Amino acid sequence: MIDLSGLLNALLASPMIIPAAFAGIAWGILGGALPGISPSITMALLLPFTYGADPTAAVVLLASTYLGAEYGGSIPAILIRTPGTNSAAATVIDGYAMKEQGKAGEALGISLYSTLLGSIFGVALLITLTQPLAAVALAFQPTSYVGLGVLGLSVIASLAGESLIKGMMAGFIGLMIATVGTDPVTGNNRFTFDDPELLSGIPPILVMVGIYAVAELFEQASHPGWQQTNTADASIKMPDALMRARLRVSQIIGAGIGFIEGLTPGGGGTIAAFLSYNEAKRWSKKPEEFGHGSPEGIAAPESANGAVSATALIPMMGLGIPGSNSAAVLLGGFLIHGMTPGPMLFTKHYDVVMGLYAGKVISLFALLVVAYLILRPCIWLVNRPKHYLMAFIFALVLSGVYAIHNSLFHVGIALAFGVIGYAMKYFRIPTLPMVLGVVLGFMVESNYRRALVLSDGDHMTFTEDPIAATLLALAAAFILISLVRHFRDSTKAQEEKTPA
Amino acid sequence: MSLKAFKLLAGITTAFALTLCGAQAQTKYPKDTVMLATHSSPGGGSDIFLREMVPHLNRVMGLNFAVENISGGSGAKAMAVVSKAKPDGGLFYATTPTFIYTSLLSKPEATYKDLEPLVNVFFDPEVVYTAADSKFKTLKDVIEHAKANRGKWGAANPASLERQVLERMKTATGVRAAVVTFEGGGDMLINVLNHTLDIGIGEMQEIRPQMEAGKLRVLAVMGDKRLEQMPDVPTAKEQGVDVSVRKFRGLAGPKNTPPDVVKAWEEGIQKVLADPAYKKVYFENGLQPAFIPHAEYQKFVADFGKETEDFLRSTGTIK
Amino acid sequence: MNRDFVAGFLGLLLAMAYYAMAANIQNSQLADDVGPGGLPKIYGVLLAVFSVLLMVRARTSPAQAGGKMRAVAEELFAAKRGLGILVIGIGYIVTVPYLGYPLAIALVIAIAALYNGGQISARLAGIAVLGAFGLWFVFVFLLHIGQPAGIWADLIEGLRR
Repeated sequence: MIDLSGLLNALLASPMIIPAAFAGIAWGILGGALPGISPSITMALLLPFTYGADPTAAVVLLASTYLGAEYGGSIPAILIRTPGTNSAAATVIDGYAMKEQGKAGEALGISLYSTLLGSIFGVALLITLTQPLAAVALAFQPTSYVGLGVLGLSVIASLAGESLIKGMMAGFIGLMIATVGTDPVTGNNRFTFDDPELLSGIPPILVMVGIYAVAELFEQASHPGWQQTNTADASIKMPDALMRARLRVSQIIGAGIGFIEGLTPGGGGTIAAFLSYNEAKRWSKKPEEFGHGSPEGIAAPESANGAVSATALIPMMGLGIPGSNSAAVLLGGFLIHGMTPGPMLFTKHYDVVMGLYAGKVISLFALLVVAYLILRPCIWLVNRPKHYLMAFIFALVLSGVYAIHNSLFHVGIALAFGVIGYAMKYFRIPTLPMVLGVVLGFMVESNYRRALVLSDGDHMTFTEDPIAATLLALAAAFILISLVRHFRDSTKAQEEKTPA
Repeated sequence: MSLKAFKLLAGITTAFALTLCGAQAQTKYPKDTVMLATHSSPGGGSDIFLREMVPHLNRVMGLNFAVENISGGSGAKAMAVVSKAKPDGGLFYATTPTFIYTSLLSKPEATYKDLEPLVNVFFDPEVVYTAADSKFKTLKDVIEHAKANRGKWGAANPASLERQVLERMKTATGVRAAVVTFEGGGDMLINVLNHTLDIGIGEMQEIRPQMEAGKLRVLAVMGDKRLEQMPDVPTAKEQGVDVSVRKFRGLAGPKNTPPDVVKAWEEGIQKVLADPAYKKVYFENGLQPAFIPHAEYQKFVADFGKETEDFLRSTGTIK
Repeated sequence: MNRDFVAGFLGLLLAMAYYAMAANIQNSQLADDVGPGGLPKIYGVLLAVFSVLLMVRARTSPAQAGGKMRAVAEELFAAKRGLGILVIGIGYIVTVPYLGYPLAIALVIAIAALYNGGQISARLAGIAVLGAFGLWFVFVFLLHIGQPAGIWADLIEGLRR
């Protein structure tokens, strides 16, 4: 039940919640908007400063930073094709396409509106149902994660655009990139060339910044045509009634997937964003617009991000199990104030929990206010003369990817993926299947092998878990449908050609 | 972390030290400010260990301590930085078995052999646990079940101390068990709670919330002694499984640390461990005070390294 | 020879190199039935299969295959300007440990702006300095990222001695 008076009391007891929520949102947007500074780093940077603070204000500050960072990542994704966070990479595709069509303000409006709706949904569930929903996390076994991952990968069959073969190639290259690093079962090093910097794998953000942002810089520098500036909107434009109706389905999909992914450890915002992008396309009335500036292609991942930023707190608070790096930092924020998240948190520190809930509600208003204030200067910045803008984007990327592990080696990897992205564009190989492979590869492989270790090598284990069985059956059905459609379309194309 | 940040933190910690007790005259330490580095990111295990210890150390040793997070390469980067530092008592690295595993599993620029272990502070006891509503009541039940059927045991990370303990337990009892590894303790905990796994192994700190809520049952302590925090739980040895392990938490610095610095630390750590305010903090976190002086600690870490290397070699994880 | 044929050929090379490395992953007694090399080998084989399929299709229906190699080469030549950005990036990686972050990033802004059609002017210099300051302020001052400091501190200390 919603304990409204509890929320109000918490607010009155520690009014510092309000400035903490605003500060968190502002700081989060800044960190999230910088490529390479992940939401968890943005939050962790605040951790040392919360030691002396009021515990309620401290956790509100961290939780608001999480939401701010998840939102902030999509601003550069839309404006300069540079995903600020992993989960904003799905927003790049249609967000930047809309910006190129001079609809930057509209794209930013859809992103803000969808993030808000997603997080309202998430916060409502967080406040009302944390304890019962924490149990949902327990329903997920290794087999279930395989089902989830394969469903995500199944989209490659339908996404692949002009060529199924090339889409599959890109998908496998993505899966290969995901195998770099420590083996999930034996701890052997794979494809690391004995370099400790590769032990924990290639961070997906490097791949995304490389193939989206760096490759775009190469592309623009090589074609003088870019000198004509786009007349982008001067300010943010919230969606009108017609648009809101169009976005509804994709937002429901996004919020639903974000909700599930937030609950399940290991999932996290990135997978939620891409899965909901895929599903929104699958269920859209205008799937052909995806990739060419579809508003739904922004709404789905953004509402997923918004929902995740709230529901990820459910297993962290309800079970004491953080589902993502960001939730782990928030858990650290509780621990350093002598509170242990978990089932007992709600009896031992009820006031702090209520304060956090109140803070989450306030952070929604804070997001709206802060976003309105900062978007206008952001749009102004990207409408500066193009040679300055490009120089600055390049400097931003070089600074940001360094920050992940203070590593110039990582800067080199991002540049290398710029070259790869550029080559893929040249050979007309779609990049999205590769990104899906990178994002989902490790989850699928590690859980597949884990499930087989548990079942002593018996593949029937996947049919015994109802979640896995359902998701795998869905994936199989989708692959079949897209293959049938693909061959029907190509034979039709052949027939049309032959008489002529 | 940058110099700026470090200065800021140092400033904060100075303020702490001054307000709490004023400057105490101690053995003359060559540095006013000491950096304690960890490879874990803020909020991680070693980070919290250091940050909780620092205010108490400030008070007891009369110096300014600051925590620096040198993440990257599971400690490879931190080892490289510390091994290259001047041995003037200004920089130490919070060690756990991870730094030995990283040294052995990859070929980092500097390994644990390029560092000089300073002193040990704690043992972080590993415990074996199961879901509160599972049929296993003792470690023997688990072994019996694994003998008759096939056990499903979970460890948080693939090549880790926890994995090693379970593999040794398997060999010692000669049972059939699948040892499943995860990407961290939380991930595994869920699979214990939902009965996918028979047992899991981990540190007390990780499972505290679930224990307090009565969702988990601890079956055995994988150490030589029972824990003060849960005196009713027998050790594995008491239950006929001859496996014991000591996950250490200590400090290491660059080679040739001067004797007066070592002496200051040996005194300081003993004093801080006896400090009632700090005692309360670490007792709650399930840590066992385990001071090991400098001279013995060298051998302790070297032996631990040797044992780990033998295990990884014999299983073919490394050449 | 056409574009798709080359793409397929490159894919095949990658698949073979990757497979060779996957086959050489050390075997461990801790391994499961699939093993650390299990899925990578499958990925390698499947990438090879699709690469060959692409090469075959490029031969059998060249109309779909995206142009003759000659036209393709011309396109590649026209795209060579993109490489300049890469060179600037590599130059940054090589020099930043010596120049230090603020100076190196200012140079990146100035050179990249010039390369993309800017003119040498006081304005360009001002923007490079301001931009570098802004990035330094955000990354180093606010976010405490330890960007490379360069040799300046050592140099000053050396001069003082």
